[in-house]
Amino acid sequence: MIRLKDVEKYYSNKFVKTWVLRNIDMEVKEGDFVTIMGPSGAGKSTLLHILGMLDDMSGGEYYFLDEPVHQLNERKRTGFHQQYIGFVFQAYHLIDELTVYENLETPLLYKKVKTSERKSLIAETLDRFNIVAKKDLFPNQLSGGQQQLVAVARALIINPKLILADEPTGNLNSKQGLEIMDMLKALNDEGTTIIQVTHDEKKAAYGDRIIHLLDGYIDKIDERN
Amino acid sequence: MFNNYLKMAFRNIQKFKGYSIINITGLTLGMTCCIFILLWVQHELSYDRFHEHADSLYRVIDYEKYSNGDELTFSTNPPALAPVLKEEYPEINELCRIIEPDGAVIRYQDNSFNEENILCADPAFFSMFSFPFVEGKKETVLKDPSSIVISEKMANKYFGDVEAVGKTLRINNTTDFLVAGVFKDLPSNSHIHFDFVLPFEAAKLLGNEIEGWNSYAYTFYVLLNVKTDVGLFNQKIKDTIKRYDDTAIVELSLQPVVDIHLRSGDMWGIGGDGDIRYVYLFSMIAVLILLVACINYMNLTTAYSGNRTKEIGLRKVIGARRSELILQYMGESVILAIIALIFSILLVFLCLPFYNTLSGKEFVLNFSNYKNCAILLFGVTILTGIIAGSYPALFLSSFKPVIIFKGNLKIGSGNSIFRKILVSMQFVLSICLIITTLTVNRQMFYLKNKKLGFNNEHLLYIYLPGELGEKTELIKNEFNKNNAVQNSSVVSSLPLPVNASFILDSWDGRQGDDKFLTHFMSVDYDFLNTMELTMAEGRFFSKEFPSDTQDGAVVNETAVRVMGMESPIGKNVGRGKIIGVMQDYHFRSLHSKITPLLLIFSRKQSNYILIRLKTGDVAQSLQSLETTWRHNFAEYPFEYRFLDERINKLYSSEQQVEKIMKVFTLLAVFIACLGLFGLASFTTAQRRKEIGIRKVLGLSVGGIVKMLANDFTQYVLYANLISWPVAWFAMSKWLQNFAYRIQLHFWMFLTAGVLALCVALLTIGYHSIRAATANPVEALRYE
Repeated sequence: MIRLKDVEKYYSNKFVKTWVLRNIDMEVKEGDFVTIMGPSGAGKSTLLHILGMLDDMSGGEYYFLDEPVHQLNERKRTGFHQQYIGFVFQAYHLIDELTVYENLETPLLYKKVKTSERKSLIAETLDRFNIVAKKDLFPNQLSGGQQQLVAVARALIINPKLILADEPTGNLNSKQGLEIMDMLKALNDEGTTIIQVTHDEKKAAYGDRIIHLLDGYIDKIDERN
Repeated sequence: MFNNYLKMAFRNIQKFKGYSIINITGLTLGMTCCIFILLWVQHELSYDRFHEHADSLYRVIDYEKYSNGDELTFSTNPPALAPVLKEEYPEINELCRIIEPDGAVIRYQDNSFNEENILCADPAFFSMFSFPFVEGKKETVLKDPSSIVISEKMANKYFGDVEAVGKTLRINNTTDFLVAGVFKDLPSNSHIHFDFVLPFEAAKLLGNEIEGWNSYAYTFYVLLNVKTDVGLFNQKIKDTIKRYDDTAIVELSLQPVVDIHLRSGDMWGIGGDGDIRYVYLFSMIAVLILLVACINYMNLTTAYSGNRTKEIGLRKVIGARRSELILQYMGESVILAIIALIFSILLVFLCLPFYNTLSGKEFVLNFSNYKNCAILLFGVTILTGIIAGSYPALFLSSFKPVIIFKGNLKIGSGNSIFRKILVSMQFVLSICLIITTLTVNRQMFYLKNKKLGFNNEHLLYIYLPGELGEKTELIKNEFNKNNAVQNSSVVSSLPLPVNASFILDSWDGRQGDDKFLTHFMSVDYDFLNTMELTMAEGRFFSKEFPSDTQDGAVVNETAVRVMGMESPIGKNVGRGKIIGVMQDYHFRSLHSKITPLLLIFSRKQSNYILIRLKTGDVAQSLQSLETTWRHNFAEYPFEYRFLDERINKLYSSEQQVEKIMKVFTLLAVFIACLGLFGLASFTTAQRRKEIGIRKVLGLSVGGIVKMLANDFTQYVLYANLISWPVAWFAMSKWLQNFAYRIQLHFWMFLTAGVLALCVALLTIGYHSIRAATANPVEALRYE
């Protein structure tokens, strides 16, 4: 599903090149649950952003479903977001001015899903995440856990093939964190590919494979199972 | 999708109240200005378009070129031209002549009034022009030589609620006319204004020649066959008068009636008090003011865009295309523009009475009447929204989605250069407008205060209708007995502006074929003293020289110069002999240079009496004049005017421009300040930390204010560099309209610049001082 070849990323200002990622080669198959680990500044989030096509790479090749992402234009990449990728972030990142319902609706609007289908999809999702009662509340009226729940729900509503999660439980208490992780696991069991970033060993254990990053390089890869 | 955008827009307006208020206020004011100006422009452009045959109606105009190189266009022709045009040119379907006599006394039973808006016209008048009737049949009304047609207003004035048709009105206390019809009051966008229409023959009764080739007093209108090529037809009629009058040098052509109001230039004749250049100028100002408002929006929106980076990034992450984001932000500014439109329509309704006084027009905001206006308004709104939203939309949508992970985004320096340009542009506009206002103001002051060569204070005139024109001896005697009167003189036309003119083609020492246009008036012995004019040479008309009344002539210095005379006294000019030369005085508006003027003596054809009051209580003097009048001429109404009023009227269009200009300049500057205020609040907020650190390091409050003010001072300085040459160019062009004009002085430009600077500093002062006096610890704790 995903193949990275010699991907690198640096920021340059006039005099200095600051490397963030170097020589990254990796492959993710459909149905994988991959964890990216490493100390702060190792480039975990950047790698995730590149995988999610949110950030450009400075060099190397990236194939997503055999399409060369490094050669695609913005329009095409946006197409991939709509079609295949759902994001979950550490800081929940909901649109503050929209209610829970509207937040869930937005990706469907961009995907141009018909009204009737949209309504039933949202209803179904609200139901599944047990947040029907909250649908008319604004994000700042929800607790952190609830917000993250909505964020996950929003990522899932387009039925993505790939979920990218950047420390999805970082701001949650342990009980809420477990719930979210269990949910991701369940999705993975249904066939959704998941890539997560975490420092937490316990959360990392949910994955089939752990990629350790250090100073921008892949330090080692642990295969589980 | 649309719902989603709409919700976002409204929730954002609520969330950032201060910023939304500034944005909406700016747009509202800009659009209000725009609507007002559009109302005016639309009104100017609508002149005479209400006539059913507007596109085929033309006025016959004349062009003369004299041997001294002077050129003249005018729009009056001799009465004998009518049958000739009609017989020789089948292209002309209908033709009518009109004349506007100076005025008449109109009486119904015991009520009489001096009326000025009188027209004598051929019967075709009402079939060519579309002035709807309330009573009577427009097809037949003017065929009966003893009929009169009056306006609804006049029907009310004379007859009250009673039916007017069939009543009799007596003109100049001698001749009766039967009211045959009543027409609706004229719309203000007609170039002709009249309340009474008499049959053509009545012109004779009011003292005009109605036959022959000599009296160029009639305005000719023709209704052309629709298929006529006007260019070719102009060639055909060019020399018509020359063929019948050997001495004539006039060339004829046609002017579309719809062009009369705006495109008559210096042409003499009815109408033409508009000026297409002012229409362009004001349209431009409308666009510029709107642009200033749009720039405000762009500026504030980009400045505040940091608040929305998260949303933008997030939307991109969940699948928004750039085009969808652009649409969303444009949509938001369009929504804001529509809100502003609603407010500005309210504002227009509220301010309309004030604007009407200001502009001297009677505008109404009535959308059923102005379908085009409504469409235009809506179009302008959408356009404003799109223009204002364009840059923010492009700017905001260009963010990469990762920015949301990078915390609060600092707006980059590239963007701030663009903002500097925008702010400078606002000041360029403001400074240009200030300079324009200053120049127009100075020029008007100059016009009002320029020495005209005579004393125009305490000088009034009374119109002498009908037989009064022949009783001048009596009238003068009666007035001279009055203590309030210092001097009086009877004249054929008013001394400013003098309307009558003729082509002078004989004088002693004339070279070859020389001829030139000279104005003339007939006056009596006391004209010189009443006007307080000065002689340059020779003497004025005097009782001691009886021959003066036969062939005496007084000319002005310019006439002597044009004729090329060395010692003019005793020389022949026309049928007279020069007895004196008076110093030039301005007998026409200061738009034009002083031209030749010739005075002859007469007490017979006097239309006016000029009266100079003694200095003292004017109200009391006027009252005593009225008593004198009532005592002797009770059957005529007593109506006087000051000559000053008439002088002011010469510059009425400029005065209007001056007033409107002032208001719009004020508004434009205000809108610019509004934007600056918002921007200053933003930049000082952004520099909070810097200010805190500097303060901790010991920079004084004054120093901080200076540092913050520096930025904005720069904008104003750059703006001056650009606006000065632009304004200089535009204003020297405008001043060329006046033969007598002020010089553009450096201080005017400097004043505008300094004014703009002061306003800018005052505007940002509040934020700067607040930021400078804030406790630095507060600011630093944030980080």
